[in-house]
Amino acid sequence: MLLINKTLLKMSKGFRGYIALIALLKLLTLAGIAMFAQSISGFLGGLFDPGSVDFRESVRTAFVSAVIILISEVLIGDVEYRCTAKSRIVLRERIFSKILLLDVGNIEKMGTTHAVAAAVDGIEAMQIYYSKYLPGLIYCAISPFYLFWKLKEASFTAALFLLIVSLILLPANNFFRSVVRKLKDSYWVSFLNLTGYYLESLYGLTTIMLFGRDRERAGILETKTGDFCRKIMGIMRLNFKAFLFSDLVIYSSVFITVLMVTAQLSKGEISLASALLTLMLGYGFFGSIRILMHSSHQALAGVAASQNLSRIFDIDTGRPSKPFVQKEESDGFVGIRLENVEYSYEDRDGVLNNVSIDIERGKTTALVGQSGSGKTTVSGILMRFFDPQSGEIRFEGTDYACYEPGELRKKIIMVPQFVSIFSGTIEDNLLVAKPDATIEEMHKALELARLKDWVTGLPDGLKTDVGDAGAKLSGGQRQKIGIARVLLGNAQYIIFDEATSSVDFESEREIWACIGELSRMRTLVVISHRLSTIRRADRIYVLSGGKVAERGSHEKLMEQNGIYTNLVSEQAVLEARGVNGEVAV
Amino acid sequence: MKKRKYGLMQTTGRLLAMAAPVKGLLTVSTLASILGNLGHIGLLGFGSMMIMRGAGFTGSGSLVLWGALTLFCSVLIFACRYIEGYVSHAAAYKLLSYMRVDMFKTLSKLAPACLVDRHKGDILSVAISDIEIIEVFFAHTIGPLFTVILLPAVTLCVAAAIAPLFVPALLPIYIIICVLFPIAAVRLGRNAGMAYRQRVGELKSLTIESVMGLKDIQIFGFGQRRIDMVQDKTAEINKVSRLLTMHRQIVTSAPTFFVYLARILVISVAAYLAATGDHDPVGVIALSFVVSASFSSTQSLTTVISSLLEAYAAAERLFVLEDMQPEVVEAENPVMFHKIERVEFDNVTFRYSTERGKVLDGFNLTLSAGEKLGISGESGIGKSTVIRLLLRFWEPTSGEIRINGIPLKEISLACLRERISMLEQETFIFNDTVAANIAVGKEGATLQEVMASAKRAQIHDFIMTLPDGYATQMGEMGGRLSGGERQRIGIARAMLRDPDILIMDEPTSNLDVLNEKEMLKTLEDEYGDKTLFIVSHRSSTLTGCSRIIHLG
Ligand SMILES: Nc1ncnc2c1ncn2[C@@H]1O[C@H](COP(=O)(O)OP(=O)(O)OP(=O)(O)O)[C@@H](O)[C@H]1O
Ligand SMILES: Nc1ncnc2c1ncn2[C@@H]1O[C@H](COP(=O)(O)OP(=O)(O)OP(=O)(O)O)[C@@H](O)[C@H]1O
Ligand SMILES: [Mg+2]
Ligand SMILES: [Mg+2]
Repeated sequence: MLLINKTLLKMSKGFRGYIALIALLKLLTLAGIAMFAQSISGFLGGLFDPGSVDFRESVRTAFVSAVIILISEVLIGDVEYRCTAKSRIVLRERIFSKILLLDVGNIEKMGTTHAVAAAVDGIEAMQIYYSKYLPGLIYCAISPFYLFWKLKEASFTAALFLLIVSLILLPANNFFRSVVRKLKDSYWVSFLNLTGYYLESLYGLTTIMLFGRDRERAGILETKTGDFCRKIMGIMRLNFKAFLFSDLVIYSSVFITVLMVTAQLSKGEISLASALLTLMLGYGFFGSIRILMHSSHQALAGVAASQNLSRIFDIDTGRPSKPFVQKEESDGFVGIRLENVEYSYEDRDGVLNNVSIDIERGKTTALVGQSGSGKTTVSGILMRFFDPQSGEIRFEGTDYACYEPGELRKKIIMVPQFVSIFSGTIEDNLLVAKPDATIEEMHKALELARLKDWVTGLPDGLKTDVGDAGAKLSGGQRQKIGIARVLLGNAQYIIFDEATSSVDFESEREIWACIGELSRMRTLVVISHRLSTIRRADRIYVLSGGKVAERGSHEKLMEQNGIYTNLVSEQAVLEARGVNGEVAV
Repeated sequence: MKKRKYGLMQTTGRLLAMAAPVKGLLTVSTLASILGNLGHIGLLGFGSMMIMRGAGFTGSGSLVLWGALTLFCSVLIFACRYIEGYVSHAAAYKLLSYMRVDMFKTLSKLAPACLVDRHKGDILSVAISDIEIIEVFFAHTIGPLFTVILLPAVTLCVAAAIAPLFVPALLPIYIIICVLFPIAAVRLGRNAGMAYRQRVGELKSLTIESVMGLKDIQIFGFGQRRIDMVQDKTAEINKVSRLLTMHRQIVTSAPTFFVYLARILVISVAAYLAATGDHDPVGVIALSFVVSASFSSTQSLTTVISSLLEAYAAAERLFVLEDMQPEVVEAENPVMFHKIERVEFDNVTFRYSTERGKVLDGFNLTLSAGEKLGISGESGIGKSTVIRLLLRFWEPTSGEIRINGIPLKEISLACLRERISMLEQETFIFNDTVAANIAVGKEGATLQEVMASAKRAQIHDFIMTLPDGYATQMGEMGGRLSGGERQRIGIARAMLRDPDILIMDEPTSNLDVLNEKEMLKTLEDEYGDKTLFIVSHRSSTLTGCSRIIHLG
């Protein structure tokens, strides 16, 4: 198959020189091969006429050319390495930058499966195309001319014939193009499908086992692996068809050449040496094409991968942005202000309708509301994970769009509702927040999060491995690490989204007591279903139906006898039956 | 060189054993490979005879005979190439799909206990790309393995017939490039192959965690450092890929060098014969072509050696998983039961690993049918661990757990997990519809049952607001749900069954007050006669419990 792919060529910026160099070195090898064939055939031809050829000379030339071939092959290896090394670096940089640009709000457009398939398997698969297929293609386009030039003395007609055939052969392979296009897409879809399903099976394996669904899962997996197998065999069939077609052309041409040469030889038009040379190099004419064919099914995987990669590169990551202008609120308010913010997720009706919230610097603001009322969504907007469809957000007077998201996140950080733990040690996970944190600082943060005693009690302390994505930690320990992380940083604004939902009662009380201390210096935004946690907040916003239904301090809200009052009294009833009391900031 | 856990012969043997289901296909492709290569020798040998006959250098045979033989060999080559290629790949890819499914079955025996230290990305890499690379072994190695012995033998016979002096000249070369060289090359390169496969697996873990943990990465401006980590890994991959590329180049070109040497040897011997006057130039010329053709098959082996390094590494990585000892092994004749009447923890001691301390030490608990047990206690004290032990995901270090007086070890795992329904501390959402996500709780659940369960879990009304209702897709890893919604899907899942014991691990951590109230009411109304086992640090959640244990 002939695979010339624009996307791949475009992406090869930065390492094209290496590709050309590989092709050039391949030509050097060819020169060595031609030289070798010449000396051998010369010698063999001379066998019938002892004394006509200098045996030593033949052996020496043959040996020298063998060495040339060896050296240039080794050089090719080195350049191939450089080419692939560079392309890995360049492409991975691009794809990971894209992940960061997509940000939390849009990362779903890429998804874990696409990301891992493109960034790892995809880029590795593309290496064959860059380091083997493309140089091979260039080489295939040039080598016939060189061989023609070498052979024209020996037998002009045969040389011309071989040249013409080899020049036609490659473009003739284009014949399979439409099939190639169809195959590569369906191949990649099937690959992603399988990868995604496997990945999910791994993550959900405990749930699958718990509910005894493993057999069913294996059954579906079987259909998916079967489908992938069929897609590959589709490519293989095409590959072998192309192979068969080329081989047919190649061998018939070689055969015809042999006949031509034999005829010329019997008429005495050429010498035996020339005839043998034609035969040896005649095959060489096509050798390169056959090698190309060999790598073409792997190259096809690379082409399929590159399409996917370019689709990822093409995802729009544009975000509202304005030139930076320092401003102040007209009413002297200092803090973050959301004004008439509307936000809806794709395919979902408005989650936030016309929401206005003031987060005053140095104060504690609380967000409450039923599950699904949009509290986490507000926190995402505050962190600028995504931008609202309409409305305005200002950070101390300046429009959010004037800041790079990363810039804002130096001032605002959060404990998300679900903390992600990275594989590695406890220390690695803390350093996420502050790469240069000292041991003391880490201990201090762990102390505040009520985790220090546990950590220091471990034989490896901070260096304890947390297992795959924190698999060796309990639910509460994960959350505590999330809290410790935030306390390590020194952002002015801190958002706690259900930060202690899985933490035990004692720790929760102590943690909030510490955070209460903190609130003297920092600005806190607290999201919690445990209303007692936020009782002492300076201002409480009650979200309901995508709007701010009520606002005010605990006391003021209790007077209103609305949603908040209802929630508080319901909780009081529930808790009255319980044993423990509740805690507050 | 480091001693490997799986030797070369052992790995080869094990892979061959795995190929048993496609034995027939592989035999066909191997035969085709042998015939094709013989055809290649014939093509060049007969072709050169044809030229020389045509040119009148020899009188043996006729032009038509040599021509016909040449043509026949060409036809043989295509037919065999096609059959070999197609059949061997068909066999190989079929095997790979079996292997992937088998691997999942292995993993499900290992999960979760044996997998906490293994990164999911790395396991994924074994399942998808490592297994893919084993194709090289099945499709490209088995055939050449035979031809590499057979063809030199044929060539040597031809040589012996033409001029016996060629045999001692060629034999050492064959031994070097067909036997010694490939074995040495594989041995020397195995570490690099392993390093490459491992680094690729690590890069996958890194990528997956980067996407899944993107929120935490962005919160702390950790992104650039994460890219640096990826690039460090890429640099490591590049380092081993340099070794592999050089290995491949040397392994493919050094034999070529020997091939050229062999041909030089042929002419040297021919020159010697010519000098002694005892020579047959026609035979020598034909032999020279035959020799070069015989090498083409050996080269089909050497070109795969470098990929074979990866294939062996991949196989080894697969074997490591396959040979892992599961934490939990089902009894040979597992005991079944109908209803759980009593659960006993008898002096149970447990530690996850020897490096970590005891999580449970002499833990005793008796739970009888219909009891409502609440457990609270400090984070990390071992509440979830108790549940994991009861469900037999882990095995107690000492002591015994019994159900209805029968030791847990003797009980059928399927039966045990069938009679217990559980809400996990964190609900996993599958990339499927809402309905399918709830239906995970019970095999063959109808939509009616799913809806009834959703109502019980207070999630029905929310689902009805979704664009496609129960058929709405949930996307990857439940990212499209709020925390409470996710938890309620989990509750609906657990409530879909009709178990003897309902276990809930922190059922209300993300629920609002009203949800919590309704859930407690459902438990009271509908689970009155069931055994409940609720872990929570919220006192309100445990209010319906008849007995509360505080661990600590
Ligand atoms: N990525 C998303 N795509 C589509 N819908 C979403 C997405 N994230 C959240 N939603 C929906 O938006 C609504 C608000 O979600 P949000 O997470 O803000 O709720 P919440 O108030 O934090 O609830 P909880 O208390 O349960 O955490 C929910 O109904 C949820 O289903
Ligand atoms: N796979 C594991 N390997 C090693 N240690 C583990 C593993 N899983 C949990 N642990 C440790 O065992 C202890 C008990 O964990 P467990 O999950 O049972 O706690 P828990 O009581 O449920 O806490 P939480 O309320 O926070 O969920 C913790 O200290 C935890 O770090
Ligand atoms: Mg939320
Ligand atoms: Mg737990």
